[in-house]
Amino acid sequence: MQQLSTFWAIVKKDLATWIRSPSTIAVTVLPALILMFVLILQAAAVTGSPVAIVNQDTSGQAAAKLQHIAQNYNGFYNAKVLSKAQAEKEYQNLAVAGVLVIPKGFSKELKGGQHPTITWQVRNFNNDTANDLRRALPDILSTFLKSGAAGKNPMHIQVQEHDLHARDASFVGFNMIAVVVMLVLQAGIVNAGLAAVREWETGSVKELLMSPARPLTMILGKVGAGVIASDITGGIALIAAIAAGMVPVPSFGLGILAFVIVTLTAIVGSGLGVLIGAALRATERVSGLSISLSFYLFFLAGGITDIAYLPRWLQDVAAYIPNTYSLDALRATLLYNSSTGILTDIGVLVLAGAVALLIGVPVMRRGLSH
Amino acid sequence: MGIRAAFYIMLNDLRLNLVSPFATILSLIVPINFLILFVLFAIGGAKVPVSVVVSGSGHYDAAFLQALHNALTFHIHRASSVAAGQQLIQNHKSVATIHIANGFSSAVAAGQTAHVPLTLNNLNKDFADDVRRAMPLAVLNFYHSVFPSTLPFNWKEVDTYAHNVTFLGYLAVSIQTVALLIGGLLFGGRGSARDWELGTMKELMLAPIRPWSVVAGKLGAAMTNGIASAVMVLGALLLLGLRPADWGQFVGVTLLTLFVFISLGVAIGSVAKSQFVVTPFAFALGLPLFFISGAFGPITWSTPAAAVIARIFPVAYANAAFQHAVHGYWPIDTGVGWIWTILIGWAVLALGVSWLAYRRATAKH
Repeated sequence: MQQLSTFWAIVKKDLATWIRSPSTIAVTVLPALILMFVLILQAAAVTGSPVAIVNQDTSGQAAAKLQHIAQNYNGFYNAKVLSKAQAEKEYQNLAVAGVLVIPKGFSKELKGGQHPTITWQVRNFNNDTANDLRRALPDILSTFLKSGAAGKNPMHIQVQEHDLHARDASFVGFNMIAVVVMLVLQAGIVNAGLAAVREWETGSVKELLMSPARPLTMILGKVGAGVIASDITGGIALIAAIAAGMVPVPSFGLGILAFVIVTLTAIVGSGLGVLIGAALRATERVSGLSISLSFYLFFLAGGITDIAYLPRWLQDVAAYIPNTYSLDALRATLLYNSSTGILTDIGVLVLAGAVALLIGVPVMRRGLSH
Repeated sequence: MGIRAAFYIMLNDLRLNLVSPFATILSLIVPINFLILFVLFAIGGAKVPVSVVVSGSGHYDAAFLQALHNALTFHIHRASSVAAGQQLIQNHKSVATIHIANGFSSAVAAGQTAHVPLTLNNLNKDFADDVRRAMPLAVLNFYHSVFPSTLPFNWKEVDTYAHNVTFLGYLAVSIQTVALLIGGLLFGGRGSARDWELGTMKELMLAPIRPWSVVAGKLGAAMTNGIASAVMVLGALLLLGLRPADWGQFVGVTLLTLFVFISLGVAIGSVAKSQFVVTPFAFALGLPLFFISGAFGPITWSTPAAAVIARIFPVAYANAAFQHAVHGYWPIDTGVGWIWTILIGWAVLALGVSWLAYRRATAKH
């Protein structure tokens, strides 16, 4: 009972120190918050680039149909109908990434079976943006053929799409989960690490050692404070994302599951933090290493993409990164309204948390005894 | 006297780096760490992993598989059955299964509807749309290759540049810019903040030297470290197969960019007076600026808000200058003269802030 009150006293003390230290809070939340802001800022332009459409066949019906389809194509960030001269100017000024030219007499030639040629001018700075544009034209032309405006559709292949999730998660929501996981992990590592190192730097470690509290209680108190601080920061970020409509409102059960996953991630982070703090014993070193480590863990777990997109060797590495499982579980519960595979994810996180504590606690304990 | 004082301050800072090797090594490898991490991201983002199941053995089955290969999108795994394809999705090895079913060839040959079932792990709209848009491309390419006369029109792509720069090639240059930014902020910021933390700034203030000597000394030490770090980053770029189109320009842009970013770091360190603040600040500034400063394409193709913010900071201009030095084109609508003026202007402004911070502190004491 006495150890419990000691544990709680240390948790309260470390949390109070955290709340009263703006720089620590900044270290914890600033990188992830700014990343969130950027994701929101750029979300609209993720689907594609701005383009210009030049319709030189102003009176043709087929040309008008093609122009309409291109103008409303959802793979362009912005599609403007311009004259040839205007489009060329916009292209030269890098205001548009591509220019689609429907030639003069297009509709007439199409009707006469003369195979008119549509020109697609592409600013191929790199394969990624250029391929987005290269994919766009066939998509537009397929829709055009299906519309019947070019006569009978000669293509008879039909793609039957079956989606695994009832609806597509938004790009921002998908990445927001990754950022929240990074935030929670980083908050755990930084706060527990700094809480540990602070005792050595301020000399208060001596007072702690002279107190009747057991070393294990003190260390668990620091881990507890790290977990609560991580839960608070991660929770605020998640609630903000839900309130902004980026992440759907989860059901009560899935919400609880999400909280459990966030807490388990925080335990992993705090265990790592205590380990780093006890090993390095200097704020400057701990802050530098812990931020680098959080970023490494973020990217090795797939970062803002999914591990399926990583090369095979990296997928093998990601399988040993705890936040891979946090990401998988949080995306399932919060984005896909599903709990499939969540037991495995929770099991791995419990194991990772236990391993982090089993290594971190003895290292700090040894540090205290010295 | 001023130059000599600056030289000794620089020498002292470099010695201090040697006696705290952990922090120095960490700062030196952070830029290259960033490069590695983002390259991992670039490798991952290039192609969509899908599994394709070909159940038949007809002529058109192979032609459609080839069309999928040519769809500029897919990294194709062959799966023996639809169930095996689903298993790959479950295991996060693929995000879709495309099934070229038995009877596909005969249906195509007879001009009948041929269904291609696509099971899609629609993780998010952006990823899912890549697959959805690639399928019409494959279908159109298929008809263009096997029944060219049936399509009522032709289309022609006109590329601006004869050579296609790979996604990794383009992104690696942007990553190099942000690696130098973070390295520069850390070297400049930590070096100048350290004297405030250790209390040795008081001694510098009491010394009969001019404020600019302190700033110049800090800048010199950080530049030395920054150049060492930039050489490591360059080594990594060379290993990735990147070769600058113009070596002279590349070295010039590297030195100027480092100077700008280190000046900013010195300013932040002088104002914050804490290494503890400098480190997260470097990351917090570096990562978002990377995303909005033309990492993937020109800033003018982004949202207006992102473009306006990007134009304020020097990263977008530095990035454009690097792209020109490496790939030979300017991915920005700002004139070359303005780019250099803005970069130098930022360095002057940052050094002015550092000088002012030092002056103000001197006045207080």
